[in-house]
Amino acid sequence: MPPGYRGSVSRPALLAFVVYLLGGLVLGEVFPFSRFSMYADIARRDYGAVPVFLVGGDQGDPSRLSGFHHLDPDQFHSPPGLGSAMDYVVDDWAAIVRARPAAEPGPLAVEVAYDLVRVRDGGIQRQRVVVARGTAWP
Amino acid sequence: MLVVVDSADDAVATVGPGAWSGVALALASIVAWCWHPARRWSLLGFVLPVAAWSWTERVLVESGVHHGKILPAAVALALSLSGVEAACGVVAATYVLAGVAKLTGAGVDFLHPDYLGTLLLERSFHQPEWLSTFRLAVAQSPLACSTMATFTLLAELGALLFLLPRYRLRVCLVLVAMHAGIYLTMGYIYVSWVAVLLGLATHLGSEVKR
Repeated sequence: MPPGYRGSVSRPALLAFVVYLLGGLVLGEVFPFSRFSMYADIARRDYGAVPVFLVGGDQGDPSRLSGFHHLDPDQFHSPPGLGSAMDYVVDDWAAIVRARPAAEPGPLAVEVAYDLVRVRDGGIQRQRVVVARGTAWP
Repeated sequence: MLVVVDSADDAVATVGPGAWSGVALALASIVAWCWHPARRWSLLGFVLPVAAWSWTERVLVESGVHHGKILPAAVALALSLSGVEAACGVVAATYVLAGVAKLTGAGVDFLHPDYLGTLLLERSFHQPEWLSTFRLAVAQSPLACSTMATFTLLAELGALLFLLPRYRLRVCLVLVAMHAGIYLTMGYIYVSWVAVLLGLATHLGSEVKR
């Protein structure tokens, strides 16, 4: 960096700034440009979606169960219109369920649900939506 | 896996595989400009962005992971074409774009505590107890949420000052603090972005001392 640059904007920096700013605004998600719109639409989200795995109505851990019957991992995704930042949790559950199929119905009723949560006036509002049901073996 | 960005989880540190390329790009960029920040690296600056693009296209990743690679790739490209100053211009534009996206996407509603609170709330579960407790408390605090949203917006728009060498270190520290806050409250780790910021700031320090 030439010494004279320290107190002012250099021409390469300004040029790169303008090009990348305009490229991002005009072209959007065209590599190497982007609008970097992370969390920018939070005001459009009414709820956050938190996945829960239920065993007999209580929160449980699918990794502690040995087999699953009629629990379809393809149904584990969040409810329509409600994206979730917790998808990686559901992906883990789906992998476990796929790896441990059971031919016969198990004694435990299991469900995958989403708690739709939001903050309003400093308090938490919560609503549960079940997306998949089945049975499991302990 | 190492957790970077949207696939981050504080309880189980997993990073989407694509995030590794972002880290690699950032490190490669730092090595490149520390050695000689001139056109010698034009080829590398071409190869790295293409490799990142290729990786992005082949692997289904979340948008955050995608963004985790864009900045270091764009910086590597600018660095190879025009040197450190151009790379700093790209960094400034990146954060300003993120700030502008918030203003155009949510407007002043971005500062409303309920919206950021809901975002934090979603990331408060499936975590260690202390972290869940902390995040739940923050999510339900209108003052904390509004303060964080305001700080984030000002930090991103204020990254315009990264164009001025004398402010780069301070802007870098503010942005690193912002990333640290995002990690603590939401679990998103922008490792490659922080690496680029620190690399540029460190480089600037050595230049100014001369």
